[in-house]
Amino acid sequence: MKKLFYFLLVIPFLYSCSDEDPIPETGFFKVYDDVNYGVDYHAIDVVKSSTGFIILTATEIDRTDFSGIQLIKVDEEGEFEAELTFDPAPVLPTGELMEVNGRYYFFGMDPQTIQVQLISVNDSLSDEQIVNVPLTYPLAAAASSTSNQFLILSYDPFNAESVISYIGTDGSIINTAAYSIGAGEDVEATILDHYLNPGEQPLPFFVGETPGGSVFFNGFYNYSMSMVFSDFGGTPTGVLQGQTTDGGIRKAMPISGNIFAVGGFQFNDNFIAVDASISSTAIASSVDLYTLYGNVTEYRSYTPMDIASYDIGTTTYTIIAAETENRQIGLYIFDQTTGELVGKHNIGYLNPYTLASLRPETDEENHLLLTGTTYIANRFQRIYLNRIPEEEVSSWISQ
Amino acid sequence: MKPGNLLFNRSILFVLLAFSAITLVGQARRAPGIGGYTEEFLKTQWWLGVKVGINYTDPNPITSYSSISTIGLPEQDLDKGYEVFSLPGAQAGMDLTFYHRGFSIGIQPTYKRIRYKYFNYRTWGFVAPNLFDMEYSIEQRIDAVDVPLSLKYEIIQSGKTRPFIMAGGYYSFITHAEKKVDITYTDHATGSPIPTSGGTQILGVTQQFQNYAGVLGGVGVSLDYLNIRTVFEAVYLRGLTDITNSGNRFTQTELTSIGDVNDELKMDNINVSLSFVFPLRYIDKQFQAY
Repeated sequence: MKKLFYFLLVIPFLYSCSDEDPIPETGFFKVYDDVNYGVDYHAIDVVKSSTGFIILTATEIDRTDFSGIQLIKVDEEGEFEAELTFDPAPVLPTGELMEVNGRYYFFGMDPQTIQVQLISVNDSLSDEQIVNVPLTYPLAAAASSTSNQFLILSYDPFNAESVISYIGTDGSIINTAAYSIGAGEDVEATILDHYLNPGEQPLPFFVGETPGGSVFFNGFYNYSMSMVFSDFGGTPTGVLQGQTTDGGIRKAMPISGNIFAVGGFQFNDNFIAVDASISSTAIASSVDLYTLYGNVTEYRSYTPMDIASYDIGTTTYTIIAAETENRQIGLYIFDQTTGELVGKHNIGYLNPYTLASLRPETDEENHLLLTGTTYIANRFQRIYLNRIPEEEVSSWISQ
Repeated sequence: MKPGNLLFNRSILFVLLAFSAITLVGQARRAPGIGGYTEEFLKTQWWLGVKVGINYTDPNPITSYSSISTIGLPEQDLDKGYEVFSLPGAQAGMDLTFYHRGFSIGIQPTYKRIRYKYFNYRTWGFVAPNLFDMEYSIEQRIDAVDVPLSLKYEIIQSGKTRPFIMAGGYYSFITHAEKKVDITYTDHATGSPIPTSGGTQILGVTQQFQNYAGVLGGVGVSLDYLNIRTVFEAVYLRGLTDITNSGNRFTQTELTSIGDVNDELKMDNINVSLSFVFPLRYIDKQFQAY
């Protein structure tokens, strides 16, 4: 009899020992719904603010074919707090959404003058400021490693040029360079179509800085969607040529020297690499990377991609995100030092999911932020925001 | 699971089981009292047997959660609607009881299937034809091993029919959980509502739950017929701790995708059981129990 009781006594403790490391309650997954039947939301980027998160979205507004701008503020638990819609202007919300001195910046455009505008808001969205920038048609932007500066790619329709510029917080141009997209009207028509009807094949414009101090942009150069390196001289220092809009790079993140983590496309195929060697001083072709790294069959054709560098403890990981064929978000996690694939995780189920942005929070809690859109009931396009604790990301990595 | 909850749960577990072991082992060593053989048999006895029954559940949400946040709508519109004591579950286990002079202390490790039902409801638009409804009907199934420790007192301590009252505590180990999700869309695009099925999903959600504990109280009757003791009892189990894993609340993409995440929840049960128990002490060729 006593043995039976001792046995009963031991069982619970065996159970207790099987508990895994708990995941903190600071994470959340939220879909921001609207009862309006006919409204759609398109997420562009998200940034951690001082009291929550600000999401930059594109929305439909009357009297213009360009995308309208809407900002959504949510609290630290992800609950909706406030929204700010710019109607009728500016239009064309252009990320990244960038924080400088407690204000949150992004670019837009005056639909009447097609002039670029630098827009900033405070944490509660109660105050907005708009300054004109002497550029036209914003395409992509990123924060600069130099304080109080932004890097922007824009399009100049008067000279048919892709323009890369450093902009101050007052909208002034600090440095700029322009490169021809190629003669004729075909490329310009493609750019305008990107603004008016991005559909399922959005063009992957982006900008960034290399560890060596030069800049790069992914945009049109010499008729093709190419990754162009520049030191703001008259000609690019190097070009990774795409293949019109049928092949090229979708996202690139510098690792060190000439090494980049990249995601690219070649017609309907996609490739990813975390240790691609791309010279900023040579001419090369993206199809060579495709040949080297091969097709990622899980990703859908012409998917958006994003890449983030994420630290857990002393290990740095490269995380590549894109949309899968069944419209989930497929996350591939690599050890940045060894280049080894160490984890794979998919987000999404039942309803389709699209990707807008993947970025780590730059605070001590070290969450990962993922945003995009989903279709509730398979029809209502709504924004989602997934704040993922470090412990949850760790659970995706094979030990 | 919050570390605090884990510690609390483990503490309850330890107290319950330590009390069980000390009491029962101590009682087992007690020397037989003075009196006749039959009287002694009735006054102090171990009973062992099997127990089966059904249960009904009352889910009590403490804090409501959703993976939906509404732009411009109050949050209460997202609250789930729970059905109370609506779906039967079942349980089967062991009944081990020590009886002494009207009082019994028993432990009944029981494997239990718990079921309850709730609804999520969303609507878009205001007037047909621009009106669309969606309903998720969710049956929650939880498998758990209950370890209750209860003290019984026989109100009538003689005869073959002995009613009793009981009280105690329990700790439950959740071994498996799943949700059966039925989706129904109702489209008013034609002016009249057209319901269509959005399919049925069965999702494993064990990681969304955690072990829990509570107190219990009940009534019953022991029937000593056919050389076996049959115990019929009805017990109300009051959950005292959250059964859901708060850390994992938003981690399961299958749930967050459909807007369903667990509320912080305590759970009350009504268990109706039938036990068939046998005496363990002094059974030999010289003694016939009845």
